[in-house]
Amino acid sequence: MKINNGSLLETLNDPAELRRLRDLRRPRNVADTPADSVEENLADWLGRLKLLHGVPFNYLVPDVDMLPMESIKFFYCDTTWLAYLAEGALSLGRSVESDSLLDSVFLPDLELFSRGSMKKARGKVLGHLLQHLSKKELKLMSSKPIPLNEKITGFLLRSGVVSDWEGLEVAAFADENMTRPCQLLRMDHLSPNVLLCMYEGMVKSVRINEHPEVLHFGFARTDTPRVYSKSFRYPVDKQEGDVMHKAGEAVKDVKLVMPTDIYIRGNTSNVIRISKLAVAIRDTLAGNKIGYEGTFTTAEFALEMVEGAEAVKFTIA
Amino acid sequence: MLIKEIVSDTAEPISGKLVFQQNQVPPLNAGTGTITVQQTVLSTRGQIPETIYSNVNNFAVNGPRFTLPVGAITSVYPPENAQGEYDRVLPHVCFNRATLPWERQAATPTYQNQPEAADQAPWLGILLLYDTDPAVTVSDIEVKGLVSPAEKKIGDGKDQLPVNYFFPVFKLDDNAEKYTDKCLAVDIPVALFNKVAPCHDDLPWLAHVREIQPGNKQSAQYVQRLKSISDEKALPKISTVIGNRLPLPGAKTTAYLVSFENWDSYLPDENGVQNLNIPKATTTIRMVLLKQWDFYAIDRKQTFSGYLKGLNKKDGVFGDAILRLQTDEDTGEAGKAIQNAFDMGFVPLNHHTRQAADTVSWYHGPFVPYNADRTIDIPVNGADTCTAYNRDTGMFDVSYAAAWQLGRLLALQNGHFAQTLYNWKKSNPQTIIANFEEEFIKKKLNEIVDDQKQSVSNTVEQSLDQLPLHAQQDLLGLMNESLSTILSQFITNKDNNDEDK
Repeated sequence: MKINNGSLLETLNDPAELRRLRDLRRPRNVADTPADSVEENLADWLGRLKLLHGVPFNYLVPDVDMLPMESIKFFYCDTTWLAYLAEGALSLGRSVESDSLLDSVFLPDLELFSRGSMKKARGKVLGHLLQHLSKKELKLMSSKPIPLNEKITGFLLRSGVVSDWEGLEVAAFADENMTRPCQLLRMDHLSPNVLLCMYEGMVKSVRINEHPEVLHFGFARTDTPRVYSKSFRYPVDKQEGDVMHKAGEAVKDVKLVMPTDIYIRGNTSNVIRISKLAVAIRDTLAGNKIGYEGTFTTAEFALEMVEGAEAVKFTIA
Repeated sequence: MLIKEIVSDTAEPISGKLVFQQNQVPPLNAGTGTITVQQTVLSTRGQIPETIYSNVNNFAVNGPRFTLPVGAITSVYPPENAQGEYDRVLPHVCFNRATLPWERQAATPTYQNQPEAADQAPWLGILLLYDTDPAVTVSDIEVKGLVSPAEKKIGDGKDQLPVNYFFPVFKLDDNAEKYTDKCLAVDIPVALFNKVAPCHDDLPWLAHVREIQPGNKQSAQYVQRLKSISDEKALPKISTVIGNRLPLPGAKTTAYLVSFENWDSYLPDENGVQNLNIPKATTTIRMVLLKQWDFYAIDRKQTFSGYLKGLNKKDGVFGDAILRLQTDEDTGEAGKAIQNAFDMGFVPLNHHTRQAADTVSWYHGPFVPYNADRTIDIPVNGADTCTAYNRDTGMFDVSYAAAWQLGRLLALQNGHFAQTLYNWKKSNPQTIIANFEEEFIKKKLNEIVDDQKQSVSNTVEQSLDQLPLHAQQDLLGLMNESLSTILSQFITNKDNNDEDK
């Protein structure tokens, strides 16, 4: 009696059989997700690598003339380049031919998981801030792996605006009308004045706007004669006939014109009489049109004084 | 990829929420305090004499006073050295701590009685001075430079407040501060101070708290900062201090963030008339300077939208938004081939080959101007296998070879990843072997025996544990031997020419 070594050994050369044997007791997770924390850690590291964390800047932009100061450059991510980058990392520990066989069977798993990790990366960045995100924004953050044929696009922005407005907000959309948002994969200051943004899908339009920290107190002004004026916002929700005005909405047709001799100390000093201005704003809010008679503190004063956030839209052909 | 247009987006208001709060007064102001714990022991019938035990503990609440810690200021507006249409805005400073502007008081301190939150003025303020204003002096001093020798002589009395300079009397917190601590001071002519300083009624309006609703739209570095000032329950909060003077159009403006601690009784009135509490002979006001920055309210485009709308302009002409190099001018056929390569994101780089030859090869990074997706075959056997040859230019394309090599190096650099990957790779064949052995043992004889005729006919359909004991032992020996042959071949890898055949 003799045992058939040959045919048994053959099964060990069959990729499908290898996979079946390894997965015999593998926990049945949701498809496309790592089986345990080891695989998850590997996938997360690989996901970060494919989002180009740790890749030196001159590998990303090999010549500075490609990204001069005050420029924005849109790009497609070369997914082949990313695949080679990841393959290089996964090539560690491959020495004999059977390693190659096993790698070709099992490495695609890690590659697939890493495409899920790329989607989860921003959630990790946000950490506990996720608790405070609006429902609308949370809905946009899926962790489904990026499909193989899906594009990854984005832009590099090198400008003084990146360093001076460090918290600037960027939203990207898959259409020109800014109705279908693209999921953000990575947004990083590569240096004080270089910003990198990467999105899943094809970005067609981008809106960049100021963040709340820089909203500043300001006035409207006519030059001749030099007169400052201030328009208003509803401090609380206000029902006017059939129309509901939300708190923060601009009030139409109400304007506080500020004669310099009252609101500016000594007329030419440009020093604003802040408390006089605050009282005038309070009184105007209490007037017929707005009819607000609640407390008026520095909070309400600030709401009326800040200018709206500036926003600029880029449309890509 | 071309930019079709860059426009100001005014169509819809930016969604998002920002809540302004009047202020956030800390439960305790900076300073010293005492906790007294007292316990009275007595018995109802008087057997134990009434005794009072008490314990007194002193404590100090430290807070920034003469300098601000690094990172306390998160941003200033207008940005430092910015040039733009800033003559209609009041400058401001943001702090990473919501309570900071109210941790000390502009009014004379009364540590026992906390003032009502509603009328507490901030101790931080901004003085805005123009290039055209009388000159002020900024100097490095020690804290004793804020004390007049007439009030208190410190050491030999050197480097104290000069004659006819004014600074309000203050008490040093012995636990945390020394007269030799360093700080910055700004010396302002008294007339200028009276002209620009806020009055008593103005000061409380010049600070507030902003509670920020975070979104998923900001860079990881900024998000990190928001995380450091919030937790699972509390939204990020920053405090803001605002100036009371408009910048001068067409010139340099300097903003000084100063401490107004104890200054409330010395501020000018709303017409800029000097406070009577300031001694008549005073020529110069000395204030503690915490931060100073310049900007220019001139007609340059360094505002937010000015920057963004001016992108990609070269000599006033709008360029494209493609990440590529451009040849200087048309240089014939060769130039065309090169520009073609440039248009695909390639750059020529010096290439020191493995054979020690020096040549020039093409390289492009992961960001390219066109959509390129093709799958790759794994495993890749070394960087050389991903080098390509560009026929048009007669040069090698080493982009993917560089990517592969870089990935390998980054993985090696991260010891943890390399080790985990290696263990994971090792665990796969281990699992396979374990499962293979188990299945092998459970197999029926006819599935593993080479020649069925030689086998015992009535056991062919039986599994191993159904055999008589001596047969089991024989078979086990046989299987053991077979397993070790198969697995050692599987592990060391073999060619498939099996000796058994």
